[in-house]
Amino acid sequence: MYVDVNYTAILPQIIIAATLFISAMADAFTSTRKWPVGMIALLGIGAGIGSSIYLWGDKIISFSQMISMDEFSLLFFITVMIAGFITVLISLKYVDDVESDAGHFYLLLLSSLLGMMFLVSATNLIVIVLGLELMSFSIYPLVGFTRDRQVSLEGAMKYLVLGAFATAFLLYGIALLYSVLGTTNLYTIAKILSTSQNPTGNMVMMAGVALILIGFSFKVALVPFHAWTPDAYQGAPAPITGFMAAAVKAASFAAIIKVVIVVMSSYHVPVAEAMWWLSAVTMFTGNIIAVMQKNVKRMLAYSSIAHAGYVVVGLVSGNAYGMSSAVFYLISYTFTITGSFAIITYLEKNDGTGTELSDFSGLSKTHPVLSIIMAVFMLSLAGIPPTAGFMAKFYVFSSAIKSGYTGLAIFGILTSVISLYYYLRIVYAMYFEEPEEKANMPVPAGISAGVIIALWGVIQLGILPSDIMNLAMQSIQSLLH
Amino acid sequence: MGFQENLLSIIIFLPLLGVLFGAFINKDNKSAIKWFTLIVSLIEFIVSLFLVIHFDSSSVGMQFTEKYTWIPVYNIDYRIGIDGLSLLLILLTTFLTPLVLLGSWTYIKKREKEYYLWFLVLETGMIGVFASLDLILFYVFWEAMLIPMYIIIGVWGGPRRIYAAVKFFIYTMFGSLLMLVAIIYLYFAYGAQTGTYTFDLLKLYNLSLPLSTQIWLFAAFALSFAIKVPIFPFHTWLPDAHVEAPTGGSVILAGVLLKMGTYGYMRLAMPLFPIAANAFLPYLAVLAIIGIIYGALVAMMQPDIKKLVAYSSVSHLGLVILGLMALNIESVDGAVLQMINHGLSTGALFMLVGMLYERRHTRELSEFGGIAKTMPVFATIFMIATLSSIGLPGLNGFIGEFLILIGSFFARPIYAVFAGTGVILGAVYMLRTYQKVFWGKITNKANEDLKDLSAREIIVMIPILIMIVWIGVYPKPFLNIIHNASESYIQYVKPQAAPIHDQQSTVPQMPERLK
Repeated sequence: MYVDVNYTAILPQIIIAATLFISAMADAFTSTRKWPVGMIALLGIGAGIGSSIYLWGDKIISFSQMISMDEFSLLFFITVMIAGFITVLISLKYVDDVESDAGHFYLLLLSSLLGMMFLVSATNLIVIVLGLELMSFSIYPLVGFTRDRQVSLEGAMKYLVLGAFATAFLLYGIALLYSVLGTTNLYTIAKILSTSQNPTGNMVMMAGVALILIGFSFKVALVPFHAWTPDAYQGAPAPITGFMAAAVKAASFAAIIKVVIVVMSSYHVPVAEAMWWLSAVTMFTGNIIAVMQKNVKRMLAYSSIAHAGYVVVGLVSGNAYGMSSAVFYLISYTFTITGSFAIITYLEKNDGTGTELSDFSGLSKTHPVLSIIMAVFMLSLAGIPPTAGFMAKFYVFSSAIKSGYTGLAIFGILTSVISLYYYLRIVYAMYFEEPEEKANMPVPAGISAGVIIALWGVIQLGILPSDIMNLAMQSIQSLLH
Repeated sequence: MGFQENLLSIIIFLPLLGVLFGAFINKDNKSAIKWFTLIVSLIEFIVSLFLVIHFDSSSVGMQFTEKYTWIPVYNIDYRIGIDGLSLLLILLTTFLTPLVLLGSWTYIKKREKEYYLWFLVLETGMIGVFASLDLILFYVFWEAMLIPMYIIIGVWGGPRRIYAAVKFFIYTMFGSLLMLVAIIYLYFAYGAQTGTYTFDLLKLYNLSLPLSTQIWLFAAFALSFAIKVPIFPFHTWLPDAHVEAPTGGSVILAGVLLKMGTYGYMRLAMPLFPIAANAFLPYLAVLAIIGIIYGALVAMMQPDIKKLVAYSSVSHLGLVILGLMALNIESVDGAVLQMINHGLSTGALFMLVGMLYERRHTRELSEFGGIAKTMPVFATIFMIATLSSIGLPGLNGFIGEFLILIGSFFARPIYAVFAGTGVILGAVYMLRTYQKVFWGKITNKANEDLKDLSAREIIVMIPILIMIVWIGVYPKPFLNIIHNASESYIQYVKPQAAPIHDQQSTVPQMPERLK
């Protein structure tokens, strides 16, 4: 059988894979301090971002229509790689502090990036599963990275078991689809669906689509498939939590967007309805439970659940406008959440403590600049202008209103009033409470750099969002053709 | 770019520029920070006077307009411009800010640098709200301004400051988020009707939506502004925020922030949705009257002077809303003037209460008595502010209240009757308070050697007193500035064909213009 091979289509992936290889070598040849490995990872990710920018505007479908390199995949490449870049930056000190000879931290991070990139560029359900698994299996050990901490292991274990569940759902759904359509190629599926007479009449197909969506809902932690999130987020080292909230979520959502676009034409009513309920329940539950949390990582875990709900608001309409609003939301969330976790990384001690609300008390006195930046991130999460979070919510809700889902928009907005309470809780701990006696450590350079990149993103997207909105729009357009 | 073409932008962002430079001042060099911020705010005030010089009060519509493309995907523009209403409110802001900064010099004793810089951030936000002509730009300033106020209340406030700050923030946010939904809805409705999508306020005025839609949109806007004003029964955040805020915060809160609610009614809610506005108008008027009387009655019962002034704001702002609802030129002119008057007189009262608090660390009425003997200058200034607040002829409060009462009498005499009662109650509690604090014998030993106002404090108060007398004696220049804005407001809101307001026999016909 003839297989068309065009390596340009996977150039960014090749770069990351090569980086992974070189880092592994470097890991073998360096002593106990592993920052050189991190530096190589940074360079590689930087090159990956550069190549994605260079390839922008091209569209190559290759490997028997299994991989599509288009603006959609490139935009998500850049998003997850920026998240990866910031994560490596803020981990530089952590990795060397937490235990000696921990270079595999970077290797796992790179391989999960690789998985994400295959996931977002896949146009075949099997490749989607492969990418998803490569991503997930690299993340599981990172969650349990501090092996002597019970919380960490518990989180990793839960994540592993529920992740396996999710994959099972996904595979079963794919199998059902395959049994009816005889293909796992998204283009072919889309073609068959658009010409079929009565797609909703076929229960096997319906079940297949439903199972696939459930599988993905686990990955992006939509209620009621979210049970693993709080433990995994709290147990993981802070930089990894940020990476999960930003990149894992974005990549999984990219896959959801692809699948939804393919099936939306024939299953508009049931899918839109399912999305409506998923988003409403997710926004509400995530925000309500977050209010009760005392640990900031856990609080942001529930908040990330809620944010997944806001992204789904953009998907409900199923049109290009809504999809691009979801893409924009993911990009803005990526910057905000990696930035927040950069600051949490600084506060987190090696034994995993230091992330309670009380640890933020009076931070504005000891670290005025850091706390004002943290406040900006929190306001962005709460959706207050002039930050990225506001523009993202504005975009998502306006897409819902445009498509006639005003009720969902109002509901979403009301839940974000709830969210205000706990985001402000952090601001007020930093500003209104007195600091406890604590050692005033210097902020590591890596963390400062990571925070500055994230802050730049949050401000840029908050004040001049037009360019990124255009990119998001283009990326969805490239997917539709 | 030029000074004159970008005058308004310069005024909006000058304080923010000040913050950028001020951030580099060493936080231990307190006097440098105080002087720096004071000078920035004074320059800001002087620059804002250029608006008055170049303002053409005979022309209708927006002046000093600027437009730059901001988010082309949504046709969101940086679009600003002012008319007489915005002009006066901007001037009020730039006028009060330096006084507040100077007035805080001895009151604020911790984290001074942040305090003064946050006030400059706040100033940019407030002016931005009054100058925006694009709904999203307006919303951005409207929300962004909450943050500095939240911090000011939360860090430098009284014992229950955190509760008050969070309540203030969440209340206001709740209303404004619903407004955001309405703004977006409006955008698509306009696009569906005309084919062009825009957030341009002046274009959106021309949109005519059916009543059933307008009602919801109006409700969303009106709720947001009702919380801000606050109109009874949405006022419960106000006493907490006012009482807990530091003096400077209370002055700006009462002086400027509350006006954003009334401004919102006049600029957005009413003219954007005239049909719904007319349907809601009687209810809003009744709520306003309830507010006038309720605010006065509750103020009368307060043992705490600051709380008393806070509740008096509920009463005074009710009067402003009533003026806006009466929809004739006298009442609307009066309402706008009263916004300024309230900013001046209540601002002055909050400052004076703060000065008293600095000396005695209590605001309980029962703690005072007879202090006119120890603090004669203070007592005199307090007297003028009190009289201005209760509307004594010859001072500013009288002009505003009189115009509103006369206008609402033409609309419906019964409005004026009730509102008049509220005004009388206002005189009762203010004068009684004055008497309790200042007259009689000194019964409390702690009051025996109170220091009178320092030169700095007198300097803070004198500009306000000048304005109080000026508006009271010669309000014409102010009314001239207001007039066209009020007329176009009435034109937008008043139903052209059939007047909603019953012109029945009980209502006397309106005479020729009263001026």
